[in-house]
Amino acid sequence: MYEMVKRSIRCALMVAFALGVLAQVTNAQESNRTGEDIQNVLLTFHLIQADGFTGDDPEISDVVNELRRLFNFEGYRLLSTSAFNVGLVPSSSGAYLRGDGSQRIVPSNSEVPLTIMAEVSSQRSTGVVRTTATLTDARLHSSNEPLPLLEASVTMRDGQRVMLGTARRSAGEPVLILVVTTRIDLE
Amino acid sequence: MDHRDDWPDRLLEGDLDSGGEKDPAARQSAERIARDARNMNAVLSAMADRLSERLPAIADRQTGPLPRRGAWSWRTAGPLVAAAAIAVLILARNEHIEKGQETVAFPAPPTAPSMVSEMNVEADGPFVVFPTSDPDIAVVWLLNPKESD
Repeated sequence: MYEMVKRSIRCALMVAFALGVLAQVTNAQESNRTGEDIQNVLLTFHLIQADGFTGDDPEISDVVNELRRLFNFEGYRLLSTSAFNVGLVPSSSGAYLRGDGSQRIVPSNSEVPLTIMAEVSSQRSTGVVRTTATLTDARLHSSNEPLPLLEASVTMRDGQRVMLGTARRSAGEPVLILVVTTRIDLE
Repeated sequence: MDHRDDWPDRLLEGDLDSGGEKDPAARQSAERIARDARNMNAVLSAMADRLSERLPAIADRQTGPLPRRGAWSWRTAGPLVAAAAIAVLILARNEHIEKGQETVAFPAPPTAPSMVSEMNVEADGPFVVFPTSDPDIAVVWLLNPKESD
């Protein structure tokens, strides 16, 4: 009887060990998928002018609905849509990945060129990116540096959107809102 | 010792049959009981005959103690039951850990957490961050941007 119990326990432990190893392998595979490095980040920029436009633009209807809940502007007009892909490469230390990109745009009904710049970095295997988005007036320079109209750094996940806006600096200036949408490609 | 004198007089000397004739329902019941008893006796007798036929043959074949059906079941099913129990414990523990991590990283429904909690906004001037009804949309409003020269 004692031998039989010993044999039973040994068999049980072996089967349980096998099942446990199987479960751990499955979990490890799942973890590896979520911990992959980010290879590319597709950034989409919608430049919106607040106030003075009461029509509905279907391309920005979802973000405008959110803006209407927060602000009292009369309306929102989509000035431009642009997108560029930022490829991330390992830094010299290898601890994180980084990349940048820029695009010159001319908003509709305007002759003023603007520049959108983005610096993107990501710690390895985190699945999030740190994006510094800058909107500058391409004509104005101060000490050879374009003057930023909007600039902020945010941490974002795949599919998230940040609406970056600012107060009007003078009566004649439009209120600009830059909507940044992030799409992340894993390796 | 004869106790027949204690019985009612009408039940003695074969009066049972005559009493049944008077009550047909009771008679039928008595007949059914008697029939069931006969059937049961026949079944038990057949089982006893079969056992008596098999026992010598089994005894001739076995040199050791007779194998018990309960022992065979325990030896076969025991490890499987124990393994299943341990596997359930392992899987339940993993699931609990995963749920715990998920709870820390992403609080449970009904509403998903806003991205505001992990945006870590930085800007040159003061700003306000507004969450929206969409957890994947946030507003960063710069209050005091750089002034042009």
